[in-house]
Amino acid sequence: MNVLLLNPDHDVVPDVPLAPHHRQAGHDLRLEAMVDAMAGGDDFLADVARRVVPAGLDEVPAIRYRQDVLADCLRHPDVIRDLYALAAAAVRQESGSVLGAMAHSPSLKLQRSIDVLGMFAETLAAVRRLGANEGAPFRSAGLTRFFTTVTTRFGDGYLGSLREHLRALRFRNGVLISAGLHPSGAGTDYSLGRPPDGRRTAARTRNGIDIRIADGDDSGAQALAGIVDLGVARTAAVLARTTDRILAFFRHLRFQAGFYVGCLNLHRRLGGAPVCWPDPVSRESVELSCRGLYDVCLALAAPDRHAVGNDLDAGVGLIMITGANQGGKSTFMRAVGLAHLMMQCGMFVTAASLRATVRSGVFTHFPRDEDDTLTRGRLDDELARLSSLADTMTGGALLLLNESLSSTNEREGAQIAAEIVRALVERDVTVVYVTHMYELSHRMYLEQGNAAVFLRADRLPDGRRTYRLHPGAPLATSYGQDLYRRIFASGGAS
Amino acid sequence: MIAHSLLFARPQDAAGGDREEPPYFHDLRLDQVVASITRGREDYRLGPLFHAVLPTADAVAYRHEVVRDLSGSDVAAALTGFSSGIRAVLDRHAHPTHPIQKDLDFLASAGAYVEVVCRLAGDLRDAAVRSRGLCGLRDYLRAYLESPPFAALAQETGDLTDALAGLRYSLHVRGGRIRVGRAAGACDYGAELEAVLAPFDAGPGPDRPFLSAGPRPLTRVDVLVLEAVAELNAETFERVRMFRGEYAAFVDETLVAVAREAQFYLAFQDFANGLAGIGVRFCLPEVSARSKEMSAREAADLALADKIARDGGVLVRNDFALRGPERIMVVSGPNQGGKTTFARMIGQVHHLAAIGLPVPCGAAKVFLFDCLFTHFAEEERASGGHGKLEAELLRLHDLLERATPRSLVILNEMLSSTSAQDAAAIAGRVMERLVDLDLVCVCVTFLDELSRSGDTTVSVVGAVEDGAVRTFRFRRAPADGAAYAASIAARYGLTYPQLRERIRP
Repeated sequence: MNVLLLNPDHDVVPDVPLAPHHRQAGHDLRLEAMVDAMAGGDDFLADVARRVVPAGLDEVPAIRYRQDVLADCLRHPDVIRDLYALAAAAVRQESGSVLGAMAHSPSLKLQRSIDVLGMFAETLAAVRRLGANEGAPFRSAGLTRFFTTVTTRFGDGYLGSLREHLRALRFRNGVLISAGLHPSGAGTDYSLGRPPDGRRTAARTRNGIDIRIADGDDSGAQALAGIVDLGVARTAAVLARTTDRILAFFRHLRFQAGFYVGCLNLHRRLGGAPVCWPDPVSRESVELSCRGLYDVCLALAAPDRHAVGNDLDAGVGLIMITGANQGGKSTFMRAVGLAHLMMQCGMFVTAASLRATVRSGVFTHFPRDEDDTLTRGRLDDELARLSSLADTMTGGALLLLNESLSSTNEREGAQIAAEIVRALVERDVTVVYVTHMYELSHRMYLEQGNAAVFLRADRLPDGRRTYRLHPGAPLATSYGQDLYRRIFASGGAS
Repeated sequence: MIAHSLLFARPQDAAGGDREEPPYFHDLRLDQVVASITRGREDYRLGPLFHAVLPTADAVAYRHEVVRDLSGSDVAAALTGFSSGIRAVLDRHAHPTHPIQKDLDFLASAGAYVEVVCRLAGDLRDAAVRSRGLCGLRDYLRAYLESPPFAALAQETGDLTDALAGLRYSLHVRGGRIRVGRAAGACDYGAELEAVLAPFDAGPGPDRPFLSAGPRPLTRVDVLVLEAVAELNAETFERVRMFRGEYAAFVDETLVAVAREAQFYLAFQDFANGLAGIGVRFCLPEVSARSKEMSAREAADLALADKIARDGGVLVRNDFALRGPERIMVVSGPNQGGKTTFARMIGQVHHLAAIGLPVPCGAAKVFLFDCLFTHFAEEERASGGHGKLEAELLRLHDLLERATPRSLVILNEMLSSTSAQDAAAIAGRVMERLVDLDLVCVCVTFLDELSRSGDTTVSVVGAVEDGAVRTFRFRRAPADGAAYAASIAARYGLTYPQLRERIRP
């Protein structure tokens, strides 16, 4: 039985490790600030955000499905928070159950399953009540179906019969087992008979032979317990499996409801900052247009400062960003990447409006910390990382290149980079490239012409930055030289 | 008496099949190779079967036929199952003490034996075998299955096994009391519960395996239960007791021998398959007892290959040949360039061919030697200066005394303990004797002169690339160095055409 709050047709497996490029993108885009806001102090919610946000959806209907559920959640925040709390409590109680993972013998396992199932039955009833009270006003397909399923599957009849079986399995009148003979003389193919009530069983085994284990015969009692274990093994396994399945259901519910709770938390943290529902476009056309797009993580980090929004109209395969250092180039590129992640995980985005093609993946190639490149040369490291991206990237991807291939001389770097960009663009990968390599940007300007958008980071005549980007051809002199002169002004003797 | 053998055309030769390890085994690293081949099969004592070389081309052909039949995986699988089945019958690990258990155990192993034998007979009946060895085994089994003693054994074993398998009993456990009874129908509450819990069956969650109730040691309580079950089914258990008296020795001696002989082939086949991953190929060599020619393509040293398969590394394969009147191959080349490996490999190929097995070559033609002699530098037994040379000369003398025109001699860095001048003079003499004997010799040496010992001598050199990179390849002519050139982007698959190819739509 599925939860289906995140996807219309399957449940995301909560504990699959993130793909390396997802983790890398999260790191490069500084996703942690957003994760913190979504968590609101709950470590589990942080984990959910870390997994769900980078691994976006790649189909428009799937994105709309989540947008609808999230819209319901924004209208009825208490229901989704209660649902999350119930699921979280059930999972927590299970792992806190006394026998826990220590139960190896089937009899102990059975005992544990009986306890846990009893608790689960109560939680299911509570979830059902939540739906009965609140089910009607939902508009999204996801929440409507969820409560309908729970209500029909776990009616009073079902839960009552479950409780009755759990009572029978306490074996008040002993255990009835049947077995076949293994060639070794041991029993085999053990199965459990219906738990006896006193009289009926006595009649059934009237012609039997009695064996008695003396009081204080510990090894005998242990051997007998071993036989009982074999007898209840299948039943214990069946119950354990059901326990696992209901537990899995609650784990999925905790995970999926947790995502929406995270979105609610983020929404609250952003306060009045502008957000909008993005307009995802299917892959047939390449679109990227936005108004007032800002970096959500920067906004969260400095809530007092008004984040600078940028506009963009770039339905093209290559966006090259050049211009002033510390002029907001990387920030803008991050904002573009984060907006795609937010849109594709079904969330609102931090912009006045955004319309963009749904990407087959968001990939990042940012400068590494120096320490990581001790064993290889820096160029080797860059190329190796690009190569591993090429292993996973497919057409329709969005690739953010931040000063890539600047670890060698400009001529060689531009040469290699130009080939890479050309191949990627031909393969329908949209490349956003922040670079100070004039040789590269100029060459791209000549080669790609109208198929590319060139943006420049502004600097005012007095040297101050506006953090706004404007269309503009690459300029031959980089502002980095200012920095160079200033820093090296005093010691430029040689 | 052994009535049929998979290793020898004449079953009586099988008796001499177990031999001591030949003196050259260690020098050729065949001791390690055989240890690796037979690892995990110690119960079969296979080592000696790898020692004895065959005297005739026909004896070799007899094994080649079996090898060919076994390359069909069906036959190999059938024999694998048979060998381990027979082994299991012979080494029954359970040694029950209780009389009822003893009876049951005996019946179980008779059942296993019957099953193993019948299965092999059936498998061979259906298989396309053409070798004398396996056709003979098929015929032997057919007759054995029809023999009255086996037929009776099979019948009674089957009847009793079925009777016991059909038994079911019930246990009502309450506190410290068990009541054992006849089971009243098969009630499975677990299955009933499964139906009740069905609403979750389509849901997520891993399946848990049922607790295995396979063979386990019987506890005191199990024995009490068994006695009660036997009492409730007295007639059946009495027949089981009688059975053990009637069929005391049921295992056939020839089949036990066949089970071991099959392992000779299977062990080698597994070993060879394990090396396929690193590029070692095996073929059945053309073996001649008349010609003294040898030639092989893409031959590999098995000791090295086995190490590479375990620890990693790149395997180099080499060709070698002596044709027409050529008898002596003088091998020279750079230090640590694989000369010893190359010479050892030629010896290994000839030994494997002489015991009728495939050789680690793409294609090979070898001659059947009467004796194989190796003369390797002896690091461990070194007794210093004069004594060492003396000991070495004694060994060389002994070798030359015993070698015949049909011997294969492998000399590795002989006389390295003396001056080059002395060594050249002595070695020259040795070479003359070898030439006179007209035997086949592989001689690894640092002495250039030896490669010019006469018309029957050829020189083989370890190739060196530009920049003195060792290749571990051996050629009659020096190999040309190959240049490496690749742009840095190409190394990472990031040139325009490479990358365009890599990004899928």
